[in-house]
Amino acid sequence: MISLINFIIKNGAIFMFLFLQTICMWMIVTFNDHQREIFLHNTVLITSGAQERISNLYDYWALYSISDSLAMENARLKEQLFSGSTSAQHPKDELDQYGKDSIIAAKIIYNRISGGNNHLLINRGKNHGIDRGMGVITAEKGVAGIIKACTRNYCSVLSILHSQASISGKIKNRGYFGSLVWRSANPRLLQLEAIPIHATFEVGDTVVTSGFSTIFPEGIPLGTIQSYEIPSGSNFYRIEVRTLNDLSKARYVYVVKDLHKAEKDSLLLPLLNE
Amino acid sequence: MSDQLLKYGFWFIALTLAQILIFRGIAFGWGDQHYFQVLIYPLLILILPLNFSRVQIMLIAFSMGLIIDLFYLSPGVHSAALVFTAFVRKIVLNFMEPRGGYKVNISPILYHMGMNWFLSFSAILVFLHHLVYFSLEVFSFQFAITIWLKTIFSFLTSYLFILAIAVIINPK
Repeated sequence: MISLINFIIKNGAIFMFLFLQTICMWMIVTFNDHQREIFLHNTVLITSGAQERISNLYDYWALYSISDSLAMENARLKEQLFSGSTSAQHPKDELDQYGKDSIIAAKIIYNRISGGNNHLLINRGKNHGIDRGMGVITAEKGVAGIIKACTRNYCSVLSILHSQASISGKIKNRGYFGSLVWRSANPRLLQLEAIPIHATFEVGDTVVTSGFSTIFPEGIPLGTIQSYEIPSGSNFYRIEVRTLNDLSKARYVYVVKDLHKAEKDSLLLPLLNE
Repeated sequence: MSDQLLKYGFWFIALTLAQILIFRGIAFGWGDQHYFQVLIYPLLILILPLNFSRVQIMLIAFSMGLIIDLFYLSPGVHSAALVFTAFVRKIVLNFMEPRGGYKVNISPILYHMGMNWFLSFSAILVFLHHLVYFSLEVFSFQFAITIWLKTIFSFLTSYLFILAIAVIINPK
């Protein structure tokens, strides 16, 4: 013990240096948004292999509910298949839109919901034809996020529960569209912004993706309107949207690849840059 | 010792204020990056006298870095770079020791050490400081080119200002 203390005193400068640098590094990755993003991103990418193994272990316990949800989804798809694509419930059927999109199934291997900026990691990457900017929808109902970065076998996903995520959504059957963002602390409540006050809708109306981007096809259900109010002096509603499924429980997702993305962007991007 | 405390306390405050009030505003570049920045505060770590221990210098560097960080809104970045500078100062001093050794208790400044010695001494430390600072600011070696460009351009501007200040304050 005494020799250890002597050793520390003798090398005081080096220990003090390491001590101060540890404090600095902690401050850098805690209080600086830019550095924290990179730090988290790298940690996630480096540990993704281990994460997948851990996730595989947990899967054994979740097998029952997964097979259940997969069976339910199969059933729903079969139902759509048999009742034709113009069923009463889905006037504009998702499958119709998918004609020019390709779907890649993937498993979530990392999902952490805490704080304001959340990410997912999925076990498909560039080798499977995924690239940044593609949309990710959950196997059940709803949107999971947007692909942020890819390595050969993995992708990180900017979760919809991220302060910078914004998805173009519209109120089904009413046509008004706005952007869906996450401002609350509750992972099941999203906010629909930029709906003008002359719009008419009711609590319980469904919000679906608008299809005005190359990220998501039209008509994917996002949630139902839970409450709304008009902030004083504002020309827009403040609408709370409750998501249909709990993203923290999702285990499988589908990546939507718009096969005409490059073609659409070549027209759209010059307009945005004007 | 209390004389020294007063003197270097004054330089601590003066250099911090100069950095925050004047040199923080001098930053330009292209794209969305500031390639030319002026960081003169490492001068304090250069001129601290030789009888200060390494631990004392690092603590001074840490507190100065924290204050600068508060005004740059970048907690930890300036502190880490300056603590690193304080740590390697001893190594650079040993490396550049003149033939007769250092005189006791002096400051490694122009007046005592001569122009040539001070030019290379400050160049090494200021460059290392800038390299660490911009590595931590950019924080990704994917942008190594950005780090090097920022380090080199900002080093040139900072070095000019630091030398100017060192010449102006060169005591009799």
